[in-house]
Order: sequence, then structure tokens, then C-alpha cells
Amino acid sequence: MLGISAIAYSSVALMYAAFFAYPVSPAVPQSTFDFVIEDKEYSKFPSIHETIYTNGRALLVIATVRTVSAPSSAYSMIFDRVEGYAEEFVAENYGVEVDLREEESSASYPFSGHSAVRSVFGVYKEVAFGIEPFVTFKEVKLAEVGGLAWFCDVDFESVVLFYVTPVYFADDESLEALSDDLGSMVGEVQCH
Amino acid sequence: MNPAIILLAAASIPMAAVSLYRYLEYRRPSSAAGVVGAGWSAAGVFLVSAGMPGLLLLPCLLAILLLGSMADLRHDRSRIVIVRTAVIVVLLVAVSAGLVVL
Ligand SMILES: [Zn+2]
Repeated sequence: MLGISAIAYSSVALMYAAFFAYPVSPAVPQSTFDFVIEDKEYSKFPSIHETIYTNGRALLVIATVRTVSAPSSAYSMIFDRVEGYAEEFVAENYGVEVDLREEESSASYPFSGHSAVRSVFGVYKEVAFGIEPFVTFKEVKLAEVGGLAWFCDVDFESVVLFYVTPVYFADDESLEALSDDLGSMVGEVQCH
Repeated sequence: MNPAIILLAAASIPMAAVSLYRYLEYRRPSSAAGVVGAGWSAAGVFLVSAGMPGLLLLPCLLAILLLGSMADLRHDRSRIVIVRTAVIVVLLVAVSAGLVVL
């Protein structure tokens, strides 16, 4: 009897291991415009796939992770960490004197056929206007940093998505177009 | 159907087989509960992929095992059965409390 149990337990463990090692089907945007795509197999166990889309100052990172299920609070914890990473990224790209503020946050945001956890941060900076001695300071929104995470129950995968928009304030049409491209990429990510 | 989901559901089969073998041998209610619990786990995987909240899976499984263990207690008050029942109760309380907090 002990032998049978041992065989049963080890075959259960083997099947769970095979489940977590089974390659994920990465979540992808429907169109990628002129973005440069970098695909990585981040981990084999559990299977994690990461795709990075970059175009100048716009960035989109999508990670697909093999999971059994995930409560919203686990995703909120990921976002707390992402917030730290975002602050670093923003400080590097826009200088240290920027302010990162959470503008929207939802624990059940309908997305890609699922209910996602979503957070959006605004990147603000004090900018000087006018010529000395008539200088006034105004706070402008430079960019937006957003994160979305959800469990795809159809494929038993979690998707964590993170983006940074290009600078808004540059008064540059190509950047505005880039921002629109990024917006539609993020909006049309499909996981199954 | 994603092969990963079939693998996850199939992981319940060995436990179902062992519980069934034990039930046929000793007729203990806990073994019958083991068969039902394994069936629930396998079915639950497909239910989750069809949209059922995954958080319900584990508490329901523990509740099934607890019923079986409590039924054993009526005939067999040996220490091992008492301890096993207590462990399942603690797990069920912890998991349920965890879900409420989360
Ligand atoms: Zn999906």
C-alpha cells in the first residue's frame, strides 16, 4: 500500500511540474506599428514569457506567467513593486525632479474578456514659463505610466502589462502619433 | 483545450485511484470523500477555465475531506483520525480567513 501511495504522490507532483513548465501562449497586441520587438523566455519553471515593445520613449512590456489562479491582491502587490520600477525609469528619462502620482486604480477593470487590476500614474514636472524676471512655474503632465494584470482562465495564465507613454508636453506631432499607437496597442492586447 | 489545463486536471487521477482502492479495501468514509474530492479537483479545473472563480476550489475540497474525516470519527476515535480532522479544520479556517482578508 505504501508503494502505491508513493507512486501516486510522485505522479501527482510530476503532473503539477509539467503543468507549470508547459510553455505559455504569450499575450500579444493586435498591431505593433513601428515598435521594436524583443522576445524573451524569462523562465522555464514556471513558464514565463516576456515581450518588450519599444519606440523612442514609448515602452510596453507584457509578461505572461503560468499560474493556477491569482487573487487581485497578488496583482496589487506586483503593482506596488512596478511603481518603484516606474519611479526609477521616469527619474532616468525625465530627470529626478518629477512627481509620480496615481490617477486611476481599479480592482475589476474589464479587459481582454477578463477582469483586470489596473493602475495609471501621471508623471508631473514643474516647468518654467516666460523670460527673466517674468518667470512663472506651472506643473505639466509629461507622460503616463500604466499597469494592468489579470488571470486568463481560458489558458491558466496570468498576464502583467506595463507601459510608459512618450512625452506629451513636447508639442511634437510625431510624439502624439506615437502616443496614439501605444494607446491602441495596449487597448487591443489579447491573451487567448 | 489547452494541454496545460488537461495536465492540471489529470493530476487528480492518481489520488482518485488510491482513494478508490482504499475504499474498496476498508470502506472508510474518508476514502470515499477522497474519491469525491479528487473528482471535484479535476472538475474544478475545467469549471475555472469556463469562468468559475478559482478561489472556491480549495475551500470546497477541504470541506469535502472534512466531512469524510468527521464520518470516520464516529467509528474510529484513534489519535491519527482526531489529528487529521483537526488539521483539516485548521486548514479550512486558515484558507477561508485568508480569502476574506484578500
Ligand atoms: Zn484570456
